[in-house]
Amino acid sequence: MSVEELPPEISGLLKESHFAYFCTTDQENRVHITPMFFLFDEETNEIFVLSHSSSKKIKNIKTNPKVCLTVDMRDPENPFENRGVMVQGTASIEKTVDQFSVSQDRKLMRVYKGFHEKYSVLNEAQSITQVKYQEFTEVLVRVKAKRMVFWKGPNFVTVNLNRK
Amino acid sequence: MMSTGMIEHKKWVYEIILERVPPFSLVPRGYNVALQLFLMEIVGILVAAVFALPSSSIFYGSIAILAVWIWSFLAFHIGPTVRRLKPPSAHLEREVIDKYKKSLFSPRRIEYGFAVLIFFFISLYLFLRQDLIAYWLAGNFSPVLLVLAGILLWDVSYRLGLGLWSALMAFKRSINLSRVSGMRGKMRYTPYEELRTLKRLDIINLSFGAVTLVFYPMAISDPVFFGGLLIYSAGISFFSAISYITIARVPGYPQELIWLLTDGKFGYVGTSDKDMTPHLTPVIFVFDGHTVFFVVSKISKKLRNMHENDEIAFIVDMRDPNNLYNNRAVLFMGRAKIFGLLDAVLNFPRLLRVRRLFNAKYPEYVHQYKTRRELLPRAWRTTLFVSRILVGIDVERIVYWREAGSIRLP
Repeated sequence: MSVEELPPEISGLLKESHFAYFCTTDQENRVHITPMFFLFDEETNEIFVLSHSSSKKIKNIKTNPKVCLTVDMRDPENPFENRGVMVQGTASIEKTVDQFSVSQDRKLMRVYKGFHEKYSVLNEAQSITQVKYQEFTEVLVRVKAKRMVFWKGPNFVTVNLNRK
Repeated sequence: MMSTGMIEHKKWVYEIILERVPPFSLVPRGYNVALQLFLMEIVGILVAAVFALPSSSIFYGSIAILAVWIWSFLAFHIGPTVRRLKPPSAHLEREVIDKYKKSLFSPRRIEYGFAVLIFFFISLYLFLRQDLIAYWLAGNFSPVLLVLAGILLWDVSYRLGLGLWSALMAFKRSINLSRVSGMRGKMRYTPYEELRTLKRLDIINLSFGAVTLVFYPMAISDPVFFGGLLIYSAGISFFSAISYITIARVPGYPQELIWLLTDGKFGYVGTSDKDMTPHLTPVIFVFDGHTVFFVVSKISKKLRNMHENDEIAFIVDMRDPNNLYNNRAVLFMGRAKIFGLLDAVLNFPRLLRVRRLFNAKYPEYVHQYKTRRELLPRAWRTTLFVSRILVGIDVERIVYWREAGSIRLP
């Protein structure tokens, strides 16, 4: 599978941000949003999030796998400097943390390691939050992007991915 | 001995009569008041026929019966509505509401005190001014007729007393609630729904006073009567209006959530089209104490989605740069209320307030949009209703997160 080259603004933003807003819908098309930690996998253009198995978003993904994830940088002084990217795609629930920590799936292990590296500074700084981190992060969700919309100020760029 | 749940069973004597005494107790709730009116009017017409009263007397009697009927109807609304009020989560506010319930249905029956006073003064005045009775009853002073007129007068007096008591207690509860709402804990509050009910009660009380208008044709020739009516309705209107305005200023959300909505600069609006494809983008927004407002471009995907499916979500969060886990967020789920031109005309003062809030909250943005207007594509220009549409959220559910835990609000 060949991976499309993303514009550097998009991949840059996805790499440097720590927070994403994750949007799902339930079976009655009611929208739900949560702020989340995430990991962007440059090699596959996939985005991963960790969640709790009984959370609303996991329930929603089971009924409607279409999701949306938005990452942005805000400038409180100047709207022309606001930039962000909205990723629309399909989510799949991969594995629980317990399963893939012993699994031979090298790719998933890499993702898990990536998460630890990205958020490790915080983990070391706050031992209490480390416990929370474990508690609330037991399912790995993979988001395959179909469409990405990037904006800076009033200008938009749309990228469609995985087209046959 | 006091049993638990005593408060639940307390009712006005009038309600008890209609619920327990036949024939009123035999018909369904809502019809018993109508039955009462019907019986009173029948008796009235029979009496008029027996005593050969002129039609003017029937007219005056009917006015009184009509007023009694409307009042009964309103009283039948006030009672259950007050009893259904849910206790606020803020301790002091709960005490205020409990006290309001207790005193309104107080076993001391203070509304009777008012009623007796009103009855006494009207009777005394009528005794002194016998020409007024003579005028209403067409000069017929038969004792039977006087007793029946007295019963009707008591009915009127009782409702007047009830209305006054209800308005006074509502006034007191609003002032107290407003006072203690400033002392509520960060996550304690009186839900917006309950505040709305309290405001509705004020409107009912106001109508209670307005019903006295039907007596003006009877009292127009008599300055004392006229003045008394005027003082009564003006008093009730005053107390109910102040009560309403006071309640309208009590925030229906926890303090911490209000901070988040006031200090938070960016919100995220999630929409979903008819194919259930979610869409999520940042917006600037304002909160006017009750509703969150944001503005979208007329050609945006968001607006198209909201037309297809008005169920939306809106999230605001605050991040601590030193500790990513110490973040708090509030999620609103509800329906989008899209303000068209007609809504704008109907809600003009409110929209002006929203505009002021936007200007005060985002002065830099407003400035940038003005000075760099030529850089903006047409759809981004801020001319409201031409290229931008205002959207409010009718909230159905609220979720509040604080340091990884979530709190669900009703």
